[in-house]
Amino acid sequence: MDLSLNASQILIRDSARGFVRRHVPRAELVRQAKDGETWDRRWWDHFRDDGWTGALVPSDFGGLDLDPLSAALIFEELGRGAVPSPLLASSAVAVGLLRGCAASEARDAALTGIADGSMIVIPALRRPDTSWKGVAATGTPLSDGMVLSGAKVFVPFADAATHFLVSVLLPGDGTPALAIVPAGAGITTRLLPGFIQANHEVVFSDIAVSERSVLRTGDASFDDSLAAARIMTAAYQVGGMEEMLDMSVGHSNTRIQFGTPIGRFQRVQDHIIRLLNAMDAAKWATYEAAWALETGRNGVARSYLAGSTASDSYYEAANAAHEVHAAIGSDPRYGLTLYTRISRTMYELLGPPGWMRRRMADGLGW
Amino acid sequence: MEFELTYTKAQEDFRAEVRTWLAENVPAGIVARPRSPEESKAVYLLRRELGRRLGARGWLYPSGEKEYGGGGLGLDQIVVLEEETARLGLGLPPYYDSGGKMGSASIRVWGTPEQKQRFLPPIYRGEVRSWQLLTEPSAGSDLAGVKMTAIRDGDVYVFNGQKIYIGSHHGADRYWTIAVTDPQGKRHQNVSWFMIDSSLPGITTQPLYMLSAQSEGETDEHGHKNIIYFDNVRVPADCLVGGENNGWKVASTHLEVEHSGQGNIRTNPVWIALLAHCKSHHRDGRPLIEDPDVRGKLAEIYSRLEAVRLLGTRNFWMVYAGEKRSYHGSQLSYMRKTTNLWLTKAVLDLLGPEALTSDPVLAAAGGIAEMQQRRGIVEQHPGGTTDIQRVVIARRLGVGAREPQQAGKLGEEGIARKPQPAEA
Repeated sequence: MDLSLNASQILIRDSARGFVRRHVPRAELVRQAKDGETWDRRWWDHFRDDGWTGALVPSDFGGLDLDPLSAALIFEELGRGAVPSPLLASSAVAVGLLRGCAASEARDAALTGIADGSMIVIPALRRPDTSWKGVAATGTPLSDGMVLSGAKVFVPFADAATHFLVSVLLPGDGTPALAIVPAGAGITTRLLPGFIQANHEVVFSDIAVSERSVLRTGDASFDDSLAAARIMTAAYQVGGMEEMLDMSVGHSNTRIQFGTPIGRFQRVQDHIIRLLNAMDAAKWATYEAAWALETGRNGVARSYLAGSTASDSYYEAANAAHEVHAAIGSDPRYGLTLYTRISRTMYELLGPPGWMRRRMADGLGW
Repeated sequence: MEFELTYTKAQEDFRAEVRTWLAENVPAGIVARPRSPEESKAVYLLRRELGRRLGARGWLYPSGEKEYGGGGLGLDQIVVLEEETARLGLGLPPYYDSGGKMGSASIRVWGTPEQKQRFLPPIYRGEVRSWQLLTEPSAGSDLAGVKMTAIRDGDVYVFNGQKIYIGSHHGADRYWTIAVTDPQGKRHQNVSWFMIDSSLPGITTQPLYMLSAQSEGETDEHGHKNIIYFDNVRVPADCLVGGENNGWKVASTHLEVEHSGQGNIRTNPVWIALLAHCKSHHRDGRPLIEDPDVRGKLAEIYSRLEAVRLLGTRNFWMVYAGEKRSYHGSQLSYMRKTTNLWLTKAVLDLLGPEALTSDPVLAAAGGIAEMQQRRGIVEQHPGGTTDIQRVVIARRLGVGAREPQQAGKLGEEGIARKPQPAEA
């Protein structure tokens, strides 16, 4: 047993932490959020140069093919900085889906493009008229001539996409599949307003889908192939909680009320402890899932546990942080709401926690 | 990271040695659930005898110094010993020995060489069983508020007062206790610790039975507690450990051990019983586990218990690797307690009223569910309430303080510089 990070993992973590510190000041994130911007395109060069775009891409396609924990440390630091970017959607979720598909020219080209930073592939899954029952159930039926028409909703960072990875149902037998569709003519994206970060509606109008751009699942289901992506998502959520804990402890020691730092009050302490416990529950479920996935110990089931725990925890941790901060926490200029909004946005990113727990139960063979 | 223990050849050799020894020395019936006071006494005596045999090999207190009768073993071997005894349903020691565990830990730090020589070997060799005596009717979470007095009179201290919610069944040989040695002294500067012979004149004991007791009488260890009265008990002065009126500093070591949710890597046995029950029992013509509501609830229970298990694994590793801990012990204790209380309702939701009965026919999971309903409540208070654990966590995080509080020092690391108050 050894729950420490190895030297290369510490390097990766420190590198990611250093990037956030140097390039993503909180004030700039506050400004972006206020001005309705979703992310800063300049960050992408850094992601590419450090190989993060290909962190989970097999080396055959130019990726780093990192072990899940090493890759998770990158996302944990980005989550700590509340860094908004399509990296999670493209380099974790899309890569997971692509790796779960049978090899093909289109699939391999997409993996290569993601790794070298030339492609940002955004999964477009949810339909407006269906509840979440896994990726395969989100498919939009293609017409007989392999034409894609219809809306996908809650698509993260669709404005950054060079390509979409669209869940579809093939004509005839309705086989679930994914189609790689280049962004461009016939596709409109609309940023969804509200307490949600960088989610879009994407409408596909009469897009001809070529047979060779259609990808079918390999041995695993689409959802099982997202095991690493769930762990990356959970790590991003854990990072957010770590920052909220630091903010809350700091605030409790500097905010004076009744002549004393509010951290002296046990009711304030209780909120912080609720946050801490939520954070540590998610953190260790995430790290263990990464280890389980790496070592072939039912990592798929463990990834559902990590995913559901992290989603529940981030939501709860954000609530606790707001109870510590009171009014200033709700002032968008302060920065806490950046995290709160992400905690809500990511809550159902890869399916609701209850659904993930049911998949976990199936995966554990009950 | 590596979440599983891997074992060296030396460890596996040691395991073989331990297993062989246990097979030869652990008598049949030692984990039987007694049905009468006589059976209970017989089982208890078997366990004490096993304790002495383990002690003779240094395996009863394997981390204790060899010169005092401990095993002088490293964690590599202790892990194996704990695993092999746990496999047989036994702990180390194989009986309730709170005064031995926390008393010896405190004496190692605060005792004089002569006291170590006098007190530690009988504990480590299993010759005595010891209880801790802390709580009083008017001093629970507020340990510094104890009222029992120990007034110096020549070569002895004279004890008067009472302690409550103490020990288990079948008595103890030694009491590890805290009392007021300076009634006029300032709070935190007026208490001292003693290791006392329980047979001294003036000590009387009265049993009391908690919600977790199966029945009243000397049958069941669980839920059997005692009130212990001290009426002009004359205790030799050399039983005072750590200096007169210095008891609050000694408490930092004691409480570090008691408050610390010690990590372990075992799966919760209640969970194992629940899952097995849901697989083997049918309702509405199908196994419970196939009912979507049951599955959903089970998955929720599992997720909560996994969080506790993982923090236990983390703490286990921190001890194993010699990592410095701060809030981690109290966090685990808090999570364990609150999760077990939450679990009572979750199990009731899951299984219905079968979770509330110990009826041999109707009881769910062989009565383990019903037991959990009671123990989940009782477990809230021992070793520091959930509120006390939160106080410790906040201090260790440095909330409302100039700097984070350090953990109480243990073992050979030296003497704690800061007291660790236990009050809310």
